[in-house]
Amino acid sequence: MTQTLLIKNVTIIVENEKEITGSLWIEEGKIADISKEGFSDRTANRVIDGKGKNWSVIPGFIDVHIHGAAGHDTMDATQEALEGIATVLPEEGTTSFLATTMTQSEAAISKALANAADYIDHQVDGYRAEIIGIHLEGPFISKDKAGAQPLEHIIAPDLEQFNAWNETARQLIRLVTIAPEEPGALQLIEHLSKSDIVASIGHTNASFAEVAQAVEKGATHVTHLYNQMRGLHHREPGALGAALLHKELSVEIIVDFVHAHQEAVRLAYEAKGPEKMMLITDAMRAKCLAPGEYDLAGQQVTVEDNEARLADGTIAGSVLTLKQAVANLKETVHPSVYDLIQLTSANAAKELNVFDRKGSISTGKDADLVILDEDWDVAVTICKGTIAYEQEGR
Amino acid sequence: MTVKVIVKEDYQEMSCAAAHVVEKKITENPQAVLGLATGSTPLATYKEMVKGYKEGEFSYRNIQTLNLDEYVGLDKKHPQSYHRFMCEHLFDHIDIDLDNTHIPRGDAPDIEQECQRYEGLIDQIGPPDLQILGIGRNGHIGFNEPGTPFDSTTHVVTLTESTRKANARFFSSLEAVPTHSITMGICSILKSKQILLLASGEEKAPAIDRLLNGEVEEDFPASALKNHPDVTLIVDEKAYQKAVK
Repeated sequence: MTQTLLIKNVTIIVENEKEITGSLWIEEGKIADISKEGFSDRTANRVIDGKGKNWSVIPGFIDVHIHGAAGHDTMDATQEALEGIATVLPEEGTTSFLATTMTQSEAAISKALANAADYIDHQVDGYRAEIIGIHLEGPFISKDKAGAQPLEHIIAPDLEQFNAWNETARQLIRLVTIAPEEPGALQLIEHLSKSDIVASIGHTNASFAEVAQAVEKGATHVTHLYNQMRGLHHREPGALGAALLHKELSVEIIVDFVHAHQEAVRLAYEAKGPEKMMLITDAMRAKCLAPGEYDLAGQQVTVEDNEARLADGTIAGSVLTLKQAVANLKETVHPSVYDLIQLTSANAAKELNVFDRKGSISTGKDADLVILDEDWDVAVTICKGTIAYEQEGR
Repeated sequence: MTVKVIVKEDYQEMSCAAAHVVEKKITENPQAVLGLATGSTPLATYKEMVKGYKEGEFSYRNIQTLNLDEYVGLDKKHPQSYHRFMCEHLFDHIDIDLDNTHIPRGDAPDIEQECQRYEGLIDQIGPPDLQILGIGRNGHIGFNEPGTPFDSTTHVVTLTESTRKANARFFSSLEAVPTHSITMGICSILKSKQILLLASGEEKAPAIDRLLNGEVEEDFPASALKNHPDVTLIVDEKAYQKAVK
């Protein structure tokens, strides 16, 4: 892309530096230059001027756990579904994500993986969030903690099956949710760890000791802390106790105040700190749809402001946006902007081995950026140097 | 008037030829007005134009553009808007001044007034020196479906169920697909000084056959082009095969 973009009169949260007030120069979709003085000698194709607006530029959000949005789902296994998700996510500040599958038949998972791999191989730069890999959520999970994952397709962790799937996915599976107490789990975790794939503990009824074993084998991540995992009991601290205590483990958290109480979010933040926590949405296809009744994959779902429920009242998945998660986190723990970007971007980029190109503002990296207004709402989202989203009335 | 026909081997060759026509035009007249279209047909033409610009051979600095159409209800930031399409596939990659690019405003508060404004704009800065055009399987040009009067100017069109279904893929649901579009009329399109009609692939063969061998009738909107003094059809072999039999 020859397009040049100048962002001026903004506060820039630069990697390893104090924030600076100045300008960003973006070229060929990359952050080319950062300056306090500005670039009065150059002319850009596009200019964003934050003068008088009190704007901060931070790295774009990375969502490592998202199934769908705007009527589309990764399991639809179509190019249009992934394109639909990728084009709507910049509205909430997301510039990269892991397309997340769910427990289904072997064939349905294979189809979704092959489709995602095709999409990733051909994805276009700009105007859409980049899919940086696949999160395989299920079927290697516990039937006791299935949640919305269909019981009949849950199977024991199986290294051979995993390898076959990752072959289908052209080695693009980057994160796998596993119940570590299930037979074969530790072997799979060890294999993942050696292959630089994130092994995540989730949908699990594991005891504290079983999680400790998984950590020894190389598990480093926890899928949606609190949800679908054995809770904390003072005589058996369970998967939750282990997740909170083990410094090796980074935890995902859904901060919509539906999946976890506000004070539970505070507790997790106190225990893990900003270095070991990631905001995720775990959103499904009803996200970004107007409130109303929908037929989603054969299920009647009612979408209200911040939740989607089946007719019997069961939560049908999250409709959380990352920008809402940021707002919720802000009122809960009042993080500094430096802490915030760890939870939204840097931790995920480091864990997925893409920190050389994403997850912070530094010259040479992808120009995946979010401009926050003074209330920390997303004013502008930039994907690979293109203005993918601008707040109404800007 | 007869339509000038240039047959190329495939889509890529067709696109290169089309880009050359554009580049010749902007070289002769660096202030030329180009009429542009969206859809899949002109994509590779735009790619070739971007390539020509990047190689430093051509500049669009003083070129003006007028697009054919836009969805009603989508603002220019909407991912499925034709504004976005043009930025993504062409404007972002060349040195054109965005203030010189014109596309009907789908989010105008008074859409009838927007039609008048846009038609006035065509007369004021245009008409295009060169209009790039695709053709639908039923002969539609722009959003002008069969039956559109040949004297139509920029107007609002109710989208047919089949058009909406075909476009539903990238929207959250069929309900989210716009129900109307704003399009240059057939008369507005014919104001262009030169028209470059592009067609590629087997699915377009019946339409090309009917265009070249059929009657001029409102039932087949593209046939109106035969009333224009300077139309060039660049077509690939697959889209042309039926017309020669």
